[in-house]
Amino acid sequence: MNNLEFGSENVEKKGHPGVVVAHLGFRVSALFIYMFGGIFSMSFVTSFVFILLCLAIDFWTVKNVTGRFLVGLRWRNNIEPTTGQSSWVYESRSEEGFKRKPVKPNEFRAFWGALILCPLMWALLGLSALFTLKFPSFIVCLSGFGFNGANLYGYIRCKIGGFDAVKNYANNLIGKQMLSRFMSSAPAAPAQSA
Amino acid sequence: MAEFESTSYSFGDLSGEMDQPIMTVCDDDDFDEPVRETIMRDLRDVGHKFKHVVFPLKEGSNLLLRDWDLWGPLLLCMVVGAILHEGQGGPHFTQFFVLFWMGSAVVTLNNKLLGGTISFFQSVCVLGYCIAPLVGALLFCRIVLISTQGAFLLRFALRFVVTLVAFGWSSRAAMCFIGDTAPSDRRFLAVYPMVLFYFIISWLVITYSG
Repeated sequence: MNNLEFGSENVEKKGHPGVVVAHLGFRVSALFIYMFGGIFSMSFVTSFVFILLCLAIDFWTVKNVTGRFLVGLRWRNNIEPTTGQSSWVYESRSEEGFKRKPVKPNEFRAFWGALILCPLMWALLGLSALFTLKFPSFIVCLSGFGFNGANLYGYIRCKIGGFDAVKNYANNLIGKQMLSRFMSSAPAAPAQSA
Repeated sequence: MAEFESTSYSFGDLSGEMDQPIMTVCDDDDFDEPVRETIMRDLRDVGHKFKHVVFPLKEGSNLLLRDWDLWGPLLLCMVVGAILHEGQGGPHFTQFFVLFWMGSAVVTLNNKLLGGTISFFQSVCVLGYCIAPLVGALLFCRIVLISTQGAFLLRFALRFVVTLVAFGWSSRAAMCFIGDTAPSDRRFLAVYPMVLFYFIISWLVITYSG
């Protein structure tokens, strides 16, 4: 009677609210300082320094902490001690690891949402800075896109795999969408022909 | 909830393709290590690297090269940029920032194109950390300029000597770590841009005038 519930005692039930706050906090602060720094009469250099610090801390936090805790993924650089060859390693928690420490859906959404939206935001801000010829602002946006985009790239590689796998994944996704649209918009031809 | 389940099952579909290693599954102890341990480990590594740059030993080279990180370079770049920004006639923070990182990137690229066996980030890590003696010289110069007045020649001579020593120290430390990784017949070609990079930074230190 108790055997069915035996395994569930080891399942980690509580979430990681602190980790989610850390994940969102630094990236959003960097964007906030960039967009609204002028209102607090911050000089460009002061805001640049603070944005840089936020981006660096956020990069480290997302890479080393929030990925592991929220979605069970990790990516890193590995240097062979003997040959000095460097390679990139993409790791994920095992199946049973995920049973013991399941990914909470809210945390999943928060993680991937912030991971995808922030580089997108920096890219848009960067384009607007470029087209208004504000070159120092463009450099800041480029740094923001670089820092945030690097984590996005690393975790996509963790989740989906190499370039071929990403292509296949994208094709499958588009294929499914086109199929569902085709099915839903197909006229009632069989009924007419009958 | 449904889309979350389907993506977690897609691991099983993709792992069948063995044309390239996709990802590894890992349940190491340090995968789930507490945050505090991660932070302390990285802080200790940064501290060790600074120590090994100031007292370069052969054994320390493994630490800088194998476990590279860019915290040291970022910190030093920001300290120097902030100090030089305040000086009159010196570079702005943004200018120094771009000079530092583009300079490191160019020196690294040069090393790699000459057939060096070091990776991009390792080289930027070493170049950044080896600036530490020059940062010390800059702080010394700032103290000298603030605390003493007059005796221009003496102050300049003091700053010049200290900066020269720091320049030699930085260059030697960087050569210690990177020099071996360049092919032996092109060592001069690999070392020259690096020394030039430190020379430019030393020049900025000497011309800093509070």
